[in-house]
Amino acid sequence: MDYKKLIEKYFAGETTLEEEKLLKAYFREEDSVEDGLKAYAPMFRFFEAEQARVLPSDFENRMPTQLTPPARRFRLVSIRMAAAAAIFLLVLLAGALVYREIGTVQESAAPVATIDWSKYEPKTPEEAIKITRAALLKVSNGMNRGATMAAETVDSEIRRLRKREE
Amino acid sequence: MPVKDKLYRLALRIMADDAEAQDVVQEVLVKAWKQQEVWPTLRNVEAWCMKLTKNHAIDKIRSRHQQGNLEEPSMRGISTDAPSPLAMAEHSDTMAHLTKIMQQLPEKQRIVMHLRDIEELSYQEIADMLEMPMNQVKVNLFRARNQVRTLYLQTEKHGL
Repeated sequence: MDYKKLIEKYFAGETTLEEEKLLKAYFREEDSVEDGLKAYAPMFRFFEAEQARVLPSDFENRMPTQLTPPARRFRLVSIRMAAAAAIFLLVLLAGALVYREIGTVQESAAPVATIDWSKYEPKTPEEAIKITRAALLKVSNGMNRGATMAAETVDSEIRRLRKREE
Repeated sequence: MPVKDKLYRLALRIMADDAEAQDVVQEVLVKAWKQQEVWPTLRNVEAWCMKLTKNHAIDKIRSRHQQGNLEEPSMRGISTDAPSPLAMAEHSDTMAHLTKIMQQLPEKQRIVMHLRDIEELSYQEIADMLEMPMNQVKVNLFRARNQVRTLYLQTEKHGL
């Protein structure tokens, strides 16, 4: 690499970023720099030293007082919203419990009518068959199929019972 | 915030005063923070922050001049609590001398040379950031580099 030509190119403002990085690397080691170019070494080392300059370590400690407010506002809004949601849920839960409790009290207080199921009991097998037949017919009609089959089955059963009685 | 050091170096190059440069960075970061709604519309947030820094530092310099404080600070009070190992190895007088030479450059030349030789930005990035045609960027860089060379070699020659 002809660094003499490269440095002239640099001062003509015609070097690429890669070529400028090569120059910085070349001037980093003073021993390897040819005598005619040694005078330029401090310039390139200055660029690298400046590139490494950073803010003092305590800089960020001084920042929060100015940068925190938007973040704090955001957090406060979230906390408020969470608190509101929690209160709303508690109220809803309490309401549901109270409503349920009142319903239970009303239900237990209501008078229960007593039904005498014995009068609906069939007294004879015929009556039982009649009731069963009516029920099966009702079911069969409700389902809209098998009505005839049900009637025939019940009739045959009646006939079988009568024969046994005779 | 990895960009903050870049902003600091640029502010320092313009302001030539450590405390003022830190103030500029702080104010720019707060300003950028408050304008978060524009971030998604930006092509390059870092370049935008650099532009804010450049404009803010220049405004401060102008207001400093308007207030009648014409004394150039010449890089006073520059922080030394975090120098690179390379900087520590360098002779501080040479570094200070080159800093002073850079400071003597006209504002535009100084900023262009800083962005190219220290921050290693492309001509296009510099042109976009400074809202300057690319040929103007190259002209400013050419002049700045040659001025620094002339002044530095002169002082070296005379042993100053």
